[in-house]
Amino acid sequence: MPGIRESEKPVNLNMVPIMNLFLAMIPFLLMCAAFFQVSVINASVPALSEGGDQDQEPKKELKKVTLNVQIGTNGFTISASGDQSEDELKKIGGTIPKKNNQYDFDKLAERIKAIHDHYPKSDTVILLPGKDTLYDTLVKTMDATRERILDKRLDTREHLFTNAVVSSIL
Amino acid sequence: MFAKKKRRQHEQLNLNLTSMMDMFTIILVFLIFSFSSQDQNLKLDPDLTLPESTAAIEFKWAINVNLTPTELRVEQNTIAKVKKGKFANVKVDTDKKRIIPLFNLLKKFKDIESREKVNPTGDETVIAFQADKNLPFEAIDLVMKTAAQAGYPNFRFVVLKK
Repeated sequence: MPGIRESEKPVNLNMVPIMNLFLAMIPFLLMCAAFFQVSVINASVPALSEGGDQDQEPKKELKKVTLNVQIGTNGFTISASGDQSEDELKKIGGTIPKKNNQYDFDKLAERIKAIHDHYPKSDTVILLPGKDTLYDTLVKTMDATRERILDKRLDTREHLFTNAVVSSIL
Repeated sequence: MFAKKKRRQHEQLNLNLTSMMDMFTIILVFLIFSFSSQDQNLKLDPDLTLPESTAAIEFKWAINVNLTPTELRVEQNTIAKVKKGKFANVKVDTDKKRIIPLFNLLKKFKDIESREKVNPTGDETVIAFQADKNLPFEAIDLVMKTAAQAGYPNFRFVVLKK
């Protein structure tokens, strides 16, 4: 009978060392905690390049175009340059007007995806914002042209025009 | 009666720490998940509102250039004042499209870089550009063109992850 009484006694665990550990870890983690995450977008400005081998004729790249996206006061104007015929390049171009006085980024993303599907080797987009275009609009345009999020939860993305060059309209 | 009082004095007071332990465990798990191992070279400027983006590229070592609605700073040093999206009280070469003090400072950085290894990663040094989301492109373009002329044509626009 005394054995039973012994086993019924509650076991008191000594929590003090664990508490000490927790109290040391929490301030450290609080200092290193990131409550908002920072990311970066790679961009460049056009640079003059020294002419390469002028004698060799460059190979024609028919699956590649360089896209120009002009951010105007009325919306986006898309044009393209490449080794394709003038008619073909003209077909790529077009305008995406503002919708309810707001830039239509969804339509731009759709159009960019369609162009990239047709010319899958393309990766360069030249962005031409107007002088009054807000920086926020430029970043959103870069987002629409750079990639398409397939699954937000799994963070899967389809890369489109990843090489963004920012220039100004002359 | 005296014996009873003495026994009561020697009784150990057991605090129930279980609920406190539960709370600490939850806090600890939350903090471990939000633990950041990002480069501490980046200091976010409290005077500006960064734009939000879906970009997922992590920050790497770079020269910090911040353009707030009131100031242009390079590594926390004020270079020029900004008023209503335009540079004020600073020499600007309108023909070459460059902000003279910014150009001179970045040129100095470039000279130092050509003499000794500055970038710990060994990669090409770029500009980490923090700009307020409501600034016009005119001001941003001037900073970018100045940096490009000083030898830094590549940028990393710092944004907040959506």
